[in-house]
Amino acid sequence: MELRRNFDISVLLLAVVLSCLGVIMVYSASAVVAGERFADGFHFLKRQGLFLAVGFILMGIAMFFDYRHLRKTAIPMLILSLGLLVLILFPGMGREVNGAVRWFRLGGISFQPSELAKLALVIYMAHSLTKKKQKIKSFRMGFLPYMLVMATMLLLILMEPDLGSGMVLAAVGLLIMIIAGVKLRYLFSVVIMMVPFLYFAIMNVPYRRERILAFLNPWKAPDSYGYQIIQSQIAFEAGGLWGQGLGEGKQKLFYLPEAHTDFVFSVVGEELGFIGVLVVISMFLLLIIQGFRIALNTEDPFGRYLAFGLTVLLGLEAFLNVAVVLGLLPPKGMALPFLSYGGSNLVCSLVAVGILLSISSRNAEAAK
Amino acid sequence: MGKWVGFRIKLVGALFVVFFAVIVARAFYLQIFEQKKLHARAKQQHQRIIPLNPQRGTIFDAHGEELALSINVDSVYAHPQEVQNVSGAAKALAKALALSPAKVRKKLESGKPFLWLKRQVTPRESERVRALDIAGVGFIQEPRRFYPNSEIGAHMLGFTGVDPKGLEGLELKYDSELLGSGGHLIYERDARGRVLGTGKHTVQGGVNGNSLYLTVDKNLQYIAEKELAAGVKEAEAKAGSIVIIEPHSGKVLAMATHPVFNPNNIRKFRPLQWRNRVVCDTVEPGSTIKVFLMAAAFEEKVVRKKQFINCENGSFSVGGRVIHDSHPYGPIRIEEVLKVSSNIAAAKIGKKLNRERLYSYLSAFGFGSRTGVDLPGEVAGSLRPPSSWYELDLASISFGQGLTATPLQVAMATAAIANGGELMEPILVEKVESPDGRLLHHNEPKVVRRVISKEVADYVRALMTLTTERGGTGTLGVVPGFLVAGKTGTAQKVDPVTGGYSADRRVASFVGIVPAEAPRLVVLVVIDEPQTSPYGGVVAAPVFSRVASQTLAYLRVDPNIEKKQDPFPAVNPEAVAFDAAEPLGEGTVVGDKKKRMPKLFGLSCRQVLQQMEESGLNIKIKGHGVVVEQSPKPGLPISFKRAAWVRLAPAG
Repeated sequence: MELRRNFDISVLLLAVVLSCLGVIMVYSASAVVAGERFADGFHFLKRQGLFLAVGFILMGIAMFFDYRHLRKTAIPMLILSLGLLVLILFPGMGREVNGAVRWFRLGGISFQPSELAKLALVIYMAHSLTKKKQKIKSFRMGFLPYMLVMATMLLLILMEPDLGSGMVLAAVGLLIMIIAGVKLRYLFSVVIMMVPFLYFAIMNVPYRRERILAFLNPWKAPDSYGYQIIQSQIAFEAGGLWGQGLGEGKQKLFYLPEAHTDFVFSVVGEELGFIGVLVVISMFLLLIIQGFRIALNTEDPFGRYLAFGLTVLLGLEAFLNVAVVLGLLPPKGMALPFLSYGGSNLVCSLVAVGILLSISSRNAEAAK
Repeated sequence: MGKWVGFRIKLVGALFVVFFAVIVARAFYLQIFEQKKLHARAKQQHQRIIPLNPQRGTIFDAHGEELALSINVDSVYAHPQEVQNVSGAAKALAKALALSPAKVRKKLESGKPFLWLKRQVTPRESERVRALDIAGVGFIQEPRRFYPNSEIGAHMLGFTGVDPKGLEGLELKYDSELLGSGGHLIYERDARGRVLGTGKHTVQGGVNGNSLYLTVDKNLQYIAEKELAAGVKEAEAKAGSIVIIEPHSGKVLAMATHPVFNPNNIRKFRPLQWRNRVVCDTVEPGSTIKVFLMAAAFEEKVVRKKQFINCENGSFSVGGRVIHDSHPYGPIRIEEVLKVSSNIAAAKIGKKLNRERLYSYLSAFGFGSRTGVDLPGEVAGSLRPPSSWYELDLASISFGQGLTATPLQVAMATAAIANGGELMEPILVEKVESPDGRLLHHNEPKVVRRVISKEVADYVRALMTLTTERGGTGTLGVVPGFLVAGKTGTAQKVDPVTGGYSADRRVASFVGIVPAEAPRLVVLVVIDEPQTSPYGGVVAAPVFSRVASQTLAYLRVDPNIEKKQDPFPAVNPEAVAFDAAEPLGEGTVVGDKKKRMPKLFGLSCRQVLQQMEESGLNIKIKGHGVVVEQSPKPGLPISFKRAAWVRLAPAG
């Protein structure tokens, strides 16, 4: 196989820089906690480094792999991930963290099936919508099947429970359908139908309701549900323009829970300041714009939907996470792609980038 | 592919641009706009602030010698959460710091983020702890109060606690000036209160206190204390005090109390030993009061110069009681009253003055009101209003019994005689300076009031010189080379148990003005409960002589009289004993004049008063109603020592 060299270098570079920065921030955020919990300050650094290596290898494979072959894997992957989502619900299969069962434990490594499900859904949707061509305008062929697949997946994920992943999944699916030309009125009606369901899903679950209330008025209970939001804000405020300096942040020292996972961006804000925040946000935005550009430049509909879907997936995850960390949205427990500690998300994000790169190289070839 | 697809993708892209712009705006708001307000919150959350002791100002003597200063010593603290092997560390620390191992262990197991193990440790303790090199144990320099001269001036200076608040003396009185504001020890901590990073501790803030410059001269203070100690020991006395005043300014040059204590090691002493007797204790002034009586009498012209006054051969009846002179005299010249210290003459002069005038002069000399000296706990003494004086009270107050005064009051009143008639406010603190040497406050000499004319003051002072001349009561008070104007005093003490006068407990005193012609010093020596002899002329006068001569030499005052007499003239013990104010015992009442206690049982208060009026008796009345108890019993003689009293209770 001939090695192609016409990748979108900027996407590759952004992904590499972000994920390397992620390793550094994970170390900075976790060293003390890790020292406390595992008597090894490097515990999370080592693991994140390992995930990064795995991620880079898989990204490399994905880069050089012709993305069009993915169409053949679309259905099996969808079935596999649905199967895993079912399997994890069986008692004893998953690892429980803070009341949610989102991870498989295989040896020393945890694996989060919802991360795979997101990728699988995007590939499946891109594949299936391409196949349907003009039929997508019809309700029965172009709308209902996807709704059923998405609803099933959503239901399984919500049973873990993992509302954040579910919402991202639904949003990505709907957006791909919009791009593919599914009738907007079907989509709008489904979104409207989902509102009471969403309300029920949130307000009937005490911890979610608390999070909403905390978001609306964190200072009302700064020691309980408002705590995380306040501590995150304090981190940003302490950062100021230039930040406290790498490793100098104080909020990660047990003030800010989950500083190395969902709230790693707070540590960025505190240690690297507004400048650091601006740089990281710009890199994400650049990555997204490049992702959309790849989608626009792809003549192949599968490639286009796939590129768009993956970009939206990364972009939405990044936006939602940062919005939560900054106190713009209620907390929901979601990783920041590339930066947060966690193997599944990092590897899946890097694989997504690998696929994007593969699509970009095809485009370049086609343009020749 | 349709254009619609491209448009929709671009639209979603634009949506993301908007999303991320919102994020950047939010970050800008938090990090730049809100930064200051909330940065403080972050700091507050991360920093633990431990207050430190302020650096107290220094107390200097009149020549800038340090009397009290603060020096930095180590205080040992611990971050108990950082300490490994608590039991081993506790044992080692307890040994090094001389603390109980159980206590140290309890502290280390407390789980507190910060605590003091021991503050203000000695250099040796500090060294031992340093050698242990235990993680989580550290040192901060804190000022410790130190009195370089130990006992010298201790009663006046007072002392501070471990936290540097002044607890006694000038340290207490001037606490707000001396204290300054303490700094803070700041260290950063995590959410669990543990120390961060390198455990870097910074000390911030803190303003040193202001300094005091006293009027007291360390050397004079030393002379006074040394001679006082010797005098107290010699007299086998319980206690004593000396105060040296510069009469024209009212400056206190020395203020000594015995027994002494060491303010560097205050825990070894008891409150009674801290008492500054010069201002906190009152005693009956005894015969020294005759000086002021004479001054009042001459000022009011109730006596003439060279007038004779009959001393009634030593016993004289006043208000139903008989008063005595220890040495009987017939008629003497008014000028000799002070020299021989006749109680009978004093009583007669007091009567000529009358109650109101005697009271107003004694008040004017400062008796019965505080001098206003810069020391805590000063008492006013007691001088009852003249309306409550009976005949006998007028007589006894005239020779210094029945009123109380602090040694400082007596000294300041004497200073008014010395300086030509003006009562001064005593000055102890010359000035207050800020740590950078700025003058904050300067105490100028302050005249409280003119009491008597200069002529009368000078004349009375001249009469006082006779006391130390041959035949006077204070011959032991002479100072070689100088003319001394002095007065001895001996007063019976009030027995705290019976409320009457004690038979054997006296207060002997000598107050002197030197040089008499041009006074530089007023020195008062008080010896409390001397055992060897009760007389001021015997136990206090020699102490005065030694203090005054050394002080004058130190101040380089040239002797102005030839040595006409021996430095230590032969003493006639009988002569010195003249001065006893009221040497009355159980059997001293002369038979004929003896008054007997009438039967008062069942009488009302009004009836008792009538009885008193008729018989000229002075009977104390307690309670109200009718008499249920009386002392002495009906028909028994009334003596001066045992006050006559009746107790009334509501009629049943």
